[in-house]
Amino acid sequence: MMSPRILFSLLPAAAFAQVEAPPAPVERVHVVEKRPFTESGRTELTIFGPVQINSRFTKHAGVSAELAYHLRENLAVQAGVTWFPLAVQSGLTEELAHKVGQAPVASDALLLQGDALLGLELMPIYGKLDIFDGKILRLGVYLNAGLGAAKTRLQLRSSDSVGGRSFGDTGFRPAAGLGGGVRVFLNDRFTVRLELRDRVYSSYVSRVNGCGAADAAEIQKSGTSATGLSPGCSAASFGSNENDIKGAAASAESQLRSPSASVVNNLAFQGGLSWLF
Amino acid sequence: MNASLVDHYGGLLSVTYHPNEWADFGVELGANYTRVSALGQEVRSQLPPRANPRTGTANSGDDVRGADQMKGALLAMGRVAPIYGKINPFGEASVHFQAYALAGAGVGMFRHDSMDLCAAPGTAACDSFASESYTRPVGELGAGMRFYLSRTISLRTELRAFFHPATVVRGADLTQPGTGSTERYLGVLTVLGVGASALF
Repeated sequence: MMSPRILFSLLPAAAFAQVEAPPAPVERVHVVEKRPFTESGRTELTIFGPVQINSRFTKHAGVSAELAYHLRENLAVQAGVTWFPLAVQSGLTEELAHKVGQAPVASDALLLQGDALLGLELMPIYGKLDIFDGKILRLGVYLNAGLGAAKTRLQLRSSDSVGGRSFGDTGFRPAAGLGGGVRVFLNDRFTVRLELRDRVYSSYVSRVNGCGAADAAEIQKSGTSATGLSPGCSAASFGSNENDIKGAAASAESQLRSPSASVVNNLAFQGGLSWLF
Repeated sequence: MNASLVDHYGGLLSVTYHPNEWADFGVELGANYTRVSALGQEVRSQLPPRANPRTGTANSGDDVRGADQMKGALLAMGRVAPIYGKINPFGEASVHFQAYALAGAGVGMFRHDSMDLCAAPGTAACDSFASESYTRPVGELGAGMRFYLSRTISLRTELRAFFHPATVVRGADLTQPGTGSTERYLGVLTVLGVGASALF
């Protein structure tokens, strides 16, 4: 048993130990890895290949070019143009016409030949990825929106007609674009982009090749000798020979008989390659 | 997504084994509630007459493609996830993800409701349409993303295309069911899916 004298002799040491400074609290330090390069203050040129994925009555595929200036790492202004060399009625539309004699109203089947949009891009999410445990690549998830104009047309003759498809011009329409996608940085100059883009355009259709329904009916009846047509309407714009002209005018007349209006959503998946400079 | 004449709403139960970090294989069982879409109903409501109204001569017609309804499917499948990464959507919180491609094969249970061929003979407007149920081989291709909420739970979104041998009737007498010849084609049904997975 420990004697009281020894206990008392230990007390001053214990008191001394208590006045020592307490250990410093643990500090959490967040380390943010410096990006190897930045896109801020740089220009980006992208070539896309868009393909329509909501192809109920129409199908579209084409090429798109976009120029973007990155104001900050996560904000850019962009201007883009798109051209759809493939802008035709879908297989379902042609099948319904052939088999049950039905066709969508003109506004639902309006084709997008191309568009030009000016807008903004926001890239709020950054990340990294690797492929089969190989090189680590940076990525950004972005959203974009823009406004502009779209060039439209209407298909007048189906693909299995003599002479193939023919089209009528329906002019320019206001358009908007809304998209979201992923940008994968291959290095400081090149990126791969995958994007879903909704091209929205007004599709009020009342004239084809500058001709209204009454004009088209007159051309269907009289061909190139049609008279009393509206200013800007010409029978020759419907084809190169009398049969083509009358056939295309008949199709235009049937589609214009009941003027239709709608807002078309052309939803496209597009993959592209960018060059940052 | 591509079947405008029919609607599909359903679910898919998938059980797979991961032999390593980037591949898994297993079986899938799918079931769908299907119906003729609003567009399909509209097509049916505006059909041309089954016979010439003046002469009474029967008209001939073709069935419309792309109206097959996949009621269910049982498939063996494999998946490869070559891309692994992480994103920081909310401040410091990281979300790990995988991008994958998948392929599979199995059998599917289908129903085909004709858009324009009647089940009953005659020249009157159609009020019941020819239908058929059958089982066919099915193949699938797909791609998707898996986002890990924790080590065991993940959310998945994916796009799949189901391929199956399909048939359509051509040159049928619209007043007589069961007439016409059969044409084969490759049916394609694309679906967008969202789901959750548990690893154990």
